[in-house]
Amino acid sequence: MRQKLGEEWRRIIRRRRALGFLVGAMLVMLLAVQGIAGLANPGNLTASPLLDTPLLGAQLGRLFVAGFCLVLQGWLILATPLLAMSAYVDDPLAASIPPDTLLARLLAVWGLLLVTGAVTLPFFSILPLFGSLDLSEVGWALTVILVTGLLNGAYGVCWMALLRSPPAALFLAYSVLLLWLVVAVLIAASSLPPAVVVVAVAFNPFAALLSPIAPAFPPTGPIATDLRNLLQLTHGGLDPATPLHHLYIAGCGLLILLFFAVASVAARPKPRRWQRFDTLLVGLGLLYLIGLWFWREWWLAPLL
Amino acid sequence: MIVRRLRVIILLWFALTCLPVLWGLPRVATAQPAVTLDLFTPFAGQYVTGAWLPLRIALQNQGASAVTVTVTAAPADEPAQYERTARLAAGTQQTFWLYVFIARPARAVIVTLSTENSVIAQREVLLLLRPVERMKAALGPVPAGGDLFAIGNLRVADLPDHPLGLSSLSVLALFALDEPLVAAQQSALLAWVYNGGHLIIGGGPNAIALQSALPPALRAATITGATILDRQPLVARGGEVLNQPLLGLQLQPVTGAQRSDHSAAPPWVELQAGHGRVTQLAFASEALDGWAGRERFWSELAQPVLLTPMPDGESAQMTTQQTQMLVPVLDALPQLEIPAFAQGVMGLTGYALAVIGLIGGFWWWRRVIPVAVLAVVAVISTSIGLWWANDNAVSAYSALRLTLIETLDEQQAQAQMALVLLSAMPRTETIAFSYPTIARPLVATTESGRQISGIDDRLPQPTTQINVELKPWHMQGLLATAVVPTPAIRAALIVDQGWMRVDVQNDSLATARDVFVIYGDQLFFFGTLRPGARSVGRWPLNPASAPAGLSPGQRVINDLRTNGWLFDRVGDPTARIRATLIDAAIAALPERFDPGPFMIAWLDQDPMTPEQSTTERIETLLVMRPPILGQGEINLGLGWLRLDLTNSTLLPCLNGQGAQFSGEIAEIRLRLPPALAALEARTIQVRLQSSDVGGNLPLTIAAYNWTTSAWDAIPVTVLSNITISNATPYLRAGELRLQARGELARLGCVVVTGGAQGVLP
Repeated sequence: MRQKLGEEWRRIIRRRRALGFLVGAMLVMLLAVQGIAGLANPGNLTASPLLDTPLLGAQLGRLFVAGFCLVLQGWLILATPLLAMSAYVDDPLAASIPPDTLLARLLAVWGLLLVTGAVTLPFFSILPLFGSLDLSEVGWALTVILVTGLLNGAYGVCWMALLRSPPAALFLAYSVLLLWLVVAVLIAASSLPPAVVVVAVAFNPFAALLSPIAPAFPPTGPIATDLRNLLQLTHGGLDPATPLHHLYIAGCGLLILLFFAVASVAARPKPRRWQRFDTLLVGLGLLYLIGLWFWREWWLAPLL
Repeated sequence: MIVRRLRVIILLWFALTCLPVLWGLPRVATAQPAVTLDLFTPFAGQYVTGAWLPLRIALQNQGASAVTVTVTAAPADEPAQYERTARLAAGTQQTFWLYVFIARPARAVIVTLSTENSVIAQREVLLLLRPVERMKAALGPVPAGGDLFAIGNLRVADLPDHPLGLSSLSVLALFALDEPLVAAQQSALLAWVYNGGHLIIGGGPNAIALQSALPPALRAATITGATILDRQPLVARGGEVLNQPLLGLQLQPVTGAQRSDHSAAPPWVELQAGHGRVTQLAFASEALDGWAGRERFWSELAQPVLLTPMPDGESAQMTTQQTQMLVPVLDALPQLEIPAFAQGVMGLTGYALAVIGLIGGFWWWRRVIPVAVLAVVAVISTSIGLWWANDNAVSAYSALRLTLIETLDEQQAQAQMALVLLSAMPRTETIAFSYPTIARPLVATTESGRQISGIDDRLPQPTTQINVELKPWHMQGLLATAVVPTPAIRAALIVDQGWMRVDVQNDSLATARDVFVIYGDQLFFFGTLRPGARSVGRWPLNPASAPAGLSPGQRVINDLRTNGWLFDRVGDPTARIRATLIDAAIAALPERFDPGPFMIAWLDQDPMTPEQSTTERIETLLVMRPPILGQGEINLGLGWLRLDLTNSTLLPCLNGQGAQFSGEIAEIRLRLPPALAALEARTIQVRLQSSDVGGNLPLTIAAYNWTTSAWDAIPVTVLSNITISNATPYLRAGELRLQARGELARLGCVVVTGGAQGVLP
């Protein structure tokens, strides 16, 4: 397994698509920092009612954190399925993949995601400057981004394993993703039962990302208006203090296991037999479910 | 091999499954401590909204080991909880007071006795709302029947040990003490009277014991013997003839106190003490038994000094009014500077370009992504970024502390601090005080419509530290009250060779800035007094007339601006805050005559705050009432005789200055400060300034002759300069009465002021 993981890792860091993934992440973060700095330029704020606000720096801090997180997460959602599918490019299209190779491939993709996250960390390091952020808030937001990346990796691998055709897999993966985002936004604005709305909004990755930082969004001022409009889009009429990220993180863990299980079954050579790998996967799934049961108050908090 | 691995997996699984189960098991209940709770409220649960309810808590530990317990009290359905913690040794008992602020009408106060992990007892104190003007109490037998006193026959042990415990009372009568008052009770009484309470001290056999139990500042008269008292003031108030002679004490008023009438044997003496009053009776309350006018007399005498309208009724304490006056500026939090993030943005741009270059270069050279190098560069850059950001970080919260310190006597002062905090994120803030403090949530809506919600955490009493949970972007307020040592700043007005000399000495460790001595419309500026500095000046004889319609605070700020001591910067609310704080401290209520004089000074160190943060705006105003000392020839310029609208038919002008004249006849009362009441005047000058007409309106002016009890005509050339020569019979106990006749309605709003020359015996 270690050998396979090494091979997959060496393969992925030699891919042009991985290079594009990393450089793209840096470029979008660079654009984000320049764009937000332009918005937050004190020269632009002089004539605004913000000067009546005692903690102007803190407002800018909220703008920076929300902007950085949204941009990074947006990039990961956009690029991770593409990266995950690139792992198949060297294989014959119809070739079967044993589960351990599939796992090694997924771990290599996740590894590159972690490297991307690490490379973008310096952007988040200036946030304490604004004095308005609790470490736990940023920590939860970064956790949501990480979980989103992991989920998207597994999601991309799953589509590829099911269809074994990169163009079809890419088309379906992005179509379903886009559809889900649109549906989540529509449900957020709908008058469906509250539990349905909460679950739908919680599984909107952008709503889940804003959830840990939204309770401390400023109530007044132009920055506040922009942030409120954003919340209106993601949360609808839902209370911004609802800890949606709990439900999102717990659910994403389960979805990752599910996507990987489907992918491992779909990709393995025929005849598809029960393997020791499946036992371990089921064991892991059971442990995860037991954990969810014992910590149900935590992740069910948005529904209570 | 496989079996061994399977065993390990099963064991691990079992352990992981059992751990949470073990965590979820209920904890073993501990034994309940044997502590009993005994509750007492001195006013039988009667309360006033906007005031504090005192609860006397008696705890007894009947167990065999020491225990730490917490008593928590809160009005039903209110989030704020007031608590006190006590450590009880085995077999001992403790008694203490707990004060609960009743912000709005409540059914009951819930009192809970608990240890760290269990509730021992819970009680309910039922409440009964009562108007503040009827919230009167008496120590000793109640002299009048009916409902005049809300509660009577109180004992000394029933008297709270903090002025807040008396804040619901408007009148307190001391007729008998079963034991001496302790120092804390004396201090509480002093602060309560200074805040507007009316203290009545009985005469008769208990008089000496009662007087000696009180702090010197509350002694209105010295007892010099026994005498037959003048009954006229009693008859005037009781409305019934009092035939039998009234035997009582011969009272000699202290400086500043006034007799009930002008006779040599007054039945009582009144002393204005701060915003309140002390009435020292010369007779025993039992001496009026059987008199038909008794009920009416007590009802007339035991009137509140101060009744100010509040959102939920009225208040008899100035502190409530002062808090209301501060509300408009409570949202003037300091604006923290925007952090210099441009350097950070430049750094990040450089970092991003460098990383792209690094990746591109490696790819061109080796066709591989340099993961390890990238990780090292990212870690180093993150560390540098964090270090820089933390080093230049701005504060996450902003706070406003407005402290008003009013001296009660030479030893103690009352400090009130209004504290408003705003945080951009959830955080726990520790608020430290230099002295034991009692605090309550401060809820208000400011002028700009911003809401200040109260800090609803557990509020220990008395405490030097409160931990508050700040909610993001919510202004949260706290009002803290403490009795603190008087700052060592002395001020006095001294009669000196015909002039009034003002002497201010700063022996404290704080610098006193923008020191003013104020009397009526007159301001006397002393500048900044550093520690150890002294400043002496002669009171100006003809002070510049103050612009009409300005409050004392606005006049002080105008004076500072005019003389170049205060520069207004755009968006800086300092001047507004300071003017409001001065007005809260010294602005006279229109219907009252609050004489002053006052000395005000801004302290650069808040005695209530041990450590001052740069992210807080702190304004600390010291207010003193300097005594007037000395005797002999004195020349008091215009402004010392001031219009007194108490018990007057004239209405105050809308701008707070002068009186509104109407009809054809009006009686004008002018008064000197009580400390100059003994002045034997030779000449008096009076100036009438009308807002509507000049000085040529034909008016007839007469002055009341206290010797002949008749109105004597005074020749008048111009209203702005009326001189009364041979003025001795017209000024009695510092009071001058004038009568104006003519077309008064044409005068509109009239500012009347006067001065006098004479001898102060």
